[in-house]
Amino acid sequence: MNCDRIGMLLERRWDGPLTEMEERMVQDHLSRCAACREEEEAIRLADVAFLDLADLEPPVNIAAAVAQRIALETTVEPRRAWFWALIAAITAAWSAVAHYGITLPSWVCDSLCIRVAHTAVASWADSVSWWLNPLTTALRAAGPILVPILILSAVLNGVLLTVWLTRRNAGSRGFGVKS
Amino acid sequence: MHPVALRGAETHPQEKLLVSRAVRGDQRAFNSLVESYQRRLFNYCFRMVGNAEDACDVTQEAFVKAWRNIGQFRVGEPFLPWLFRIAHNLCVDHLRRRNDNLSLDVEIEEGREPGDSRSNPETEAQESETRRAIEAAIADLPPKYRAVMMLRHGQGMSLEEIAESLSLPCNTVKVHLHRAREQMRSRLKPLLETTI
Repeated sequence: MNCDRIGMLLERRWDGPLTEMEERMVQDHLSRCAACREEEEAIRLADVAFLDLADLEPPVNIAAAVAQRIALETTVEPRRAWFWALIAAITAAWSAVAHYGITLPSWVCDSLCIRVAHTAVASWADSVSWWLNPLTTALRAAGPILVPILILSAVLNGVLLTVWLTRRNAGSRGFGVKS
Repeated sequence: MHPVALRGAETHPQEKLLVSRAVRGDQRAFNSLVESYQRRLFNYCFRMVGNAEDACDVTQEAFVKAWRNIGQFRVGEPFLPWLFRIAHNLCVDHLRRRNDNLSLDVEIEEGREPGDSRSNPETEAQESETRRAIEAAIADLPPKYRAVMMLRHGQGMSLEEIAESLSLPCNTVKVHLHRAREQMRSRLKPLLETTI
């Protein structure tokens, strides 16, 4: 048996006991090979050295510090949730106005590019109207109900997300933080 | 810490449960994991960076980084090597920053210790000569050898887990381990040969 194989077995023996046959092979090889004996001695010496090594206690409570940092990072989330809910509501309102052509003062239309969007949507709707006609008609009919629902659901989504995150943070803040 | 007591860093069912809960965003579960592993990670970072204050910072940073990236952890795989990989990379970054004019390779070649682990005279006075010699022998190992020795003999990891922790091929780990042990053997043999 070559030294590489014995080296592998020595490592495996460190992880746990070898089979009886493997152990016999190792002992047999060690009795003949000085290099592998040195290798085995180095493993045992390292074990003894690490047994003597001090196991140090961290000078501060790392878990508490980590919990506080994580809690601080997470509390930013509700504000972010509100921001995205607001963006969603504005987008829903903007697209509804653009699509259904609700009459707004001309300066509002110009500043929000509503006229451009409305024209683009109308020309796209005309080009696909032969197969989209029933769907477009249904959407136009449902418009007055659909638009408020879209806006409300976006806002409600933000509120629920905020409440959930706040409660979750309140529950986890202070956990593991020792005085 | 007895290395034998740590052998086989396999995942326990309780740890698996905590890890899977942490992956789903449960901060309580993650904090339990931090409580369980803070000492082991701190000891590793201490031996790598050489002083307690920096080791504390690096350990904290490692846990916070682990939390931020916990979504990338694949449930079912061993958690500890993943955690040690984060900590090890931070230790290496720390050593590089501290020696910004000195490349890590030069440091490794010359086997220099970037920090001084024997900075507290009171503690030093209490330590036995043997222990101090061992501390010095480990501190004088080049960082790449020190890392494998700490993970193998200090943390009881398998070669595969060390390879995973250090992002190295298994054969490289074996070579580093062999050279590190050889270096320690030549230095500590006269001191420890009566013990074994």
